[in-house]
Amino acid sequence: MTTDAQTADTQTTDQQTIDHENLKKATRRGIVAAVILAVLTIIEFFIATGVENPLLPLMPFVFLKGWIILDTFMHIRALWSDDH
Amino acid sequence: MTTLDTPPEEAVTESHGEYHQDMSFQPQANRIGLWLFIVSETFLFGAFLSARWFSTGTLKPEELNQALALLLTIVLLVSSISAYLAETSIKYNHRRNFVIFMVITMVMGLIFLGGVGIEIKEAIHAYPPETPYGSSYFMLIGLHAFHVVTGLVALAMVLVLGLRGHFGSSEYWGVEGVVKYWHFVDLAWVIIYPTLYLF
Repeated sequence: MTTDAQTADTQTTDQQTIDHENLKKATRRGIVAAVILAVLTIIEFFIATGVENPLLPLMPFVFLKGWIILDTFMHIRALWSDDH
Repeated sequence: MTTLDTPPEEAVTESHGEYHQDMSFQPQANRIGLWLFIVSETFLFGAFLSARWFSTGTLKPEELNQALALLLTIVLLVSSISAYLAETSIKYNHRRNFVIFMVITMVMGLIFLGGVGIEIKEAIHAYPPETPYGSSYFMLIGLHAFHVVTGLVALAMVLVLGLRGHFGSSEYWGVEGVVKYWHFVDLAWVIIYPTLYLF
């Protein structure tokens, strides 16, 4: 049995139902990851231009950004779980 | 296996049928295959990144266009989020958003390539390929740009298929695979950018 809210939250196109609720959640997760990546990139830039030898201070940023992409965007954890 | 009761031709056809049925769609096997390809690509990029460290250490020319490199990083980041949103949209059956985000991803990729073109035009005079830094720079930038081009071609193919009604929540491996490759291109840039411009 579906409520009015549920009915309003689904929409049919090409005989397929859009899962708005999960779509919103996934979208939010992606946008948060992208904002974090953007902030890290800008901090990285300022450290690199302000510090004389930035190699070590920048390393954690590179690893953190890499992990965010691998985890959030590339779903690496789906390899050993049944996420999909 | 053929027996005396089964004519050989029929047996082959039957076993072929089963074979195709079993192998028609195996998303987890496809994923592992793609990840192995990505690992091999990582070694390729790793070799050229190592060459940069080996030949010039942390030395870099003063003429590097830092503002443009930062802008290109942001452009690629935007393309990555839009690729993610395209994949998510098709996963949850939102075909219109899928098309919109795929187009945004491709436009960002083209802008990135345009920016790389400007960079190369500047770099060819400031640090030519004959110099130790120049050789690493042009090799890495060229290799990465080639991956962007191939990613754009793959994205275009998936977009066309999507416009023709392919993909949906039950089967979107084509989109997932191409988008994963695109994210790898972004990931490679996350390491190439500081290696060439920041360290």
